[in-house]
Amino acid sequence: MVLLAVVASGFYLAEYLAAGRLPGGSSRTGFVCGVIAGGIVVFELLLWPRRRVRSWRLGSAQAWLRAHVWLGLLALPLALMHARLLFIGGWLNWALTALFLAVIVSGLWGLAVQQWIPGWMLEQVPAETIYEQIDHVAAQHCREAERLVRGMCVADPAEQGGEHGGDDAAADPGDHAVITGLRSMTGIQGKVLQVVQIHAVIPGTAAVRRMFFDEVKPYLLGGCRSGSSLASRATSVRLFAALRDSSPTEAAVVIDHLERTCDIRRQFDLQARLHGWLHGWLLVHVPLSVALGVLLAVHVPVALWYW
Amino acid sequence: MAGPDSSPSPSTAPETSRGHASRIDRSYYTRTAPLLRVRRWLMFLAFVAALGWSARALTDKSHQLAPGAVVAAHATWENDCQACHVPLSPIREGGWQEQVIAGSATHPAKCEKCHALASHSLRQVPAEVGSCSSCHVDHRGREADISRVADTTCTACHGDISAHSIAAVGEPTPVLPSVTRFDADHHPPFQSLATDPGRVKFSHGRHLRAGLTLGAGDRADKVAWTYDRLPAADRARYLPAGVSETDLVQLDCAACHQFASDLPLDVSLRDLRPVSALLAGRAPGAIALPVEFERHCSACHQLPADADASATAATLADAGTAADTSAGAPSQLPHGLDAGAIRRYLETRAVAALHAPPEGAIPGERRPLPVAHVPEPPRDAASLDEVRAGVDARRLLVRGVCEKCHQVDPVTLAAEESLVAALAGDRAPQEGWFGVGPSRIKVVWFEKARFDHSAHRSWSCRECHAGAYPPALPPADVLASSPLDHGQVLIAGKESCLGCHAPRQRDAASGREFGGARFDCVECHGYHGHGHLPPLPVAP
Repeated sequence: MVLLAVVASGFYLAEYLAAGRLPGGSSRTGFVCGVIAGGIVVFELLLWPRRRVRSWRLGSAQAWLRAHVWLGLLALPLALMHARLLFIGGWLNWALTALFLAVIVSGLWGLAVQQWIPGWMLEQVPAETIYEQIDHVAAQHCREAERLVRGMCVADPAEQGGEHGGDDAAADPGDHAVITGLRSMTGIQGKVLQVVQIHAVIPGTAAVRRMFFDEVKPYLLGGCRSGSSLASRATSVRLFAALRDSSPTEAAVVIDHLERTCDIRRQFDLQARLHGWLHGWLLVHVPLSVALGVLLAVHVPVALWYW
Repeated sequence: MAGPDSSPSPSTAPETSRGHASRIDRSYYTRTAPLLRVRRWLMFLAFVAALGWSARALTDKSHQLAPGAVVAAHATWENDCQACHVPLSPIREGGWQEQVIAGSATHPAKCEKCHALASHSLRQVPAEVGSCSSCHVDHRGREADISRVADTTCTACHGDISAHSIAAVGEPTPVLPSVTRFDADHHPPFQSLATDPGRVKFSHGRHLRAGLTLGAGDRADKVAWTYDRLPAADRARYLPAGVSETDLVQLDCAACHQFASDLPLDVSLRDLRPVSALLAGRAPGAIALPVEFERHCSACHQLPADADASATAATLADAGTAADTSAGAPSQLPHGLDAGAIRRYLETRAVAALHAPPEGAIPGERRPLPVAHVPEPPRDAASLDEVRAGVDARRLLVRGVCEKCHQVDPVTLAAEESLVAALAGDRAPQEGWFGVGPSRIKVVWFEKARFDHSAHRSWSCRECHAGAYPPALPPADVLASSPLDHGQVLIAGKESCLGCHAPRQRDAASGREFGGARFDCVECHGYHGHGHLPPLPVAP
């Protein structure tokens, strides 16, 4: 690719020196560069239908993606030489060139974030789940935590029948709760399911129950959008430490689980943000590529018609 | 992944598989993610916008499709692409497209519908001549100068011009100097300045001296010219402001070399007709108007009146003597006559001398017909002999007058139009006559280049014409220092141009910066018109 770009640049420079002016799209080198760059653009656009027909034996997805990236980079100098190094006129030409540059820049941005964010996410979000499942999984975690709280924490008499009341029958003593936790083993982190036996209500845990319904549950269901202070890790640590100090030792199981669940929810929030960065560039790259394809389809026949 | 916890109350009771499976929303992939939904909308909008832009492009070609506005002269056809373009045909005839794409149609010369120009050279290789747009690239803006082509369009051939020239049948291929750029080494000397074909004996140095005298060693009776010796009609023209009429005449370049832009407004149109062709297409101050005897010489070099041959002889022998040459002398010898006209004039004057003093038979206009008033010719032999003697005397006299400034050539005239021969019945050719050929003073020196005096008006004439000025020498040497210079080219060569028309640079010795003026080929040279005109289209 680099060799081809260098060779094309050499021809372009030679033609410039011979003609005394920058060769444009109708010059020998400029035309060849334009044809190659146009062909590359068409190939790049084929990546989209290629993903629609994954069952066809058209090469591996990795090979396609590599070709997409490297040919796209090669198209940049070729297109610039075809466009007389941007010393061009005509709004259509300018629009076409601007779109091409925007597509290239957005593609480079996407390439950069795709290189960096997944690794970073692997470290920072061990609780990663499918992006579309975040709300569903968070709700699941919330239900698990609520079952644990209802079974092991004292109900606040003042809140009987209130929003914190509800049906505690599902948390009868002797029952158990399945909760989600994180485990790190030989450097590998992952989610695990834990079964916690609910023996009896622990006296003096009304504050735990109150905090769950006031702070933890809204945050687990809404995430950072809820505006909860638990979205901040430092605040969360401080709040749960204070709760742990004011609660009996037996309640540590519940408090620890609530803190871990909030931590997982914060990871989900971070995953959502990273997902936006990871895929947001496509909101620019793909639509502009579509527009680029349309304008290119107009540019080619018009340029040949009046060349 | 499910397993026991290290909590104080672990249990081995597993979750049921149904409960385990419910942790995953198995239908999530059937729902469109928000990002994907937004992306699809944006794709649709981009597609529609691009289509709209394309539709707009096809209706507004001049702004959307053209790489730039056409030059102002072509603005009428701004939106009519096919006024110049032929669909699917390269506009640059002879370009690479025709070499690569077999069968590519050549572009018809639509430019030539309006621009029928002569070819560049008779020696050019026709196959190497491209279309107009090979050199003139339009769509570079209204104010673009599409005639200012790149040097490479010229040096493509002139870089090795011998290889790009054809010879006439039977002639060898011409060996011509090649040009790759304008500088001391890559541009030949100006060929137009090789020789001066002028035939008028003249000394610029002598005419630029105060009083127009030769100074010490000159004839004793020769006196300096003062303004009061000039004819009254010319005196005002030559007399500078603040100078006395008794002062010595001091001419400058503009005394003879005038430009159309310097002419007074009351000048008659007739005066401009001889030079109108030269001025066509040029700036009014581009070239000096031709030097004319009546306008620039006659104030001092008045041709003699024929009434008194003895007085005339002194006058004609040396213009600038003490002889009175005031205006109003009758039957003044006209200027610009050919040999036959001189004979008729002299015969007429000789015949008239037999009868009466001549009156103003010959009006003082330029090139009058000297046959306006022909006296009754004599019939007797004695009178004819007297007329012949008068003609011979006047012929010698006039020849001397002419030879003072002109190179005269011996001419043998036929007897048919001779008044004396007709009266004597003599039919033999008459020898001993003379003719003054064309002066061949070049008005436009650069035959294949342009020079605009008005563009260089901030420079002294001496910068380029130093040889025309008299050297500052003691009076004893001025005679030798003011020789006739009509055979000498008094225009400096390209060295005088390179002081400005070169890349901006600094002289290593003096540290002075110079150059910076344009020095590309078209700054001085034009391409068209050195060959032959194409045939005119035949009207249907």
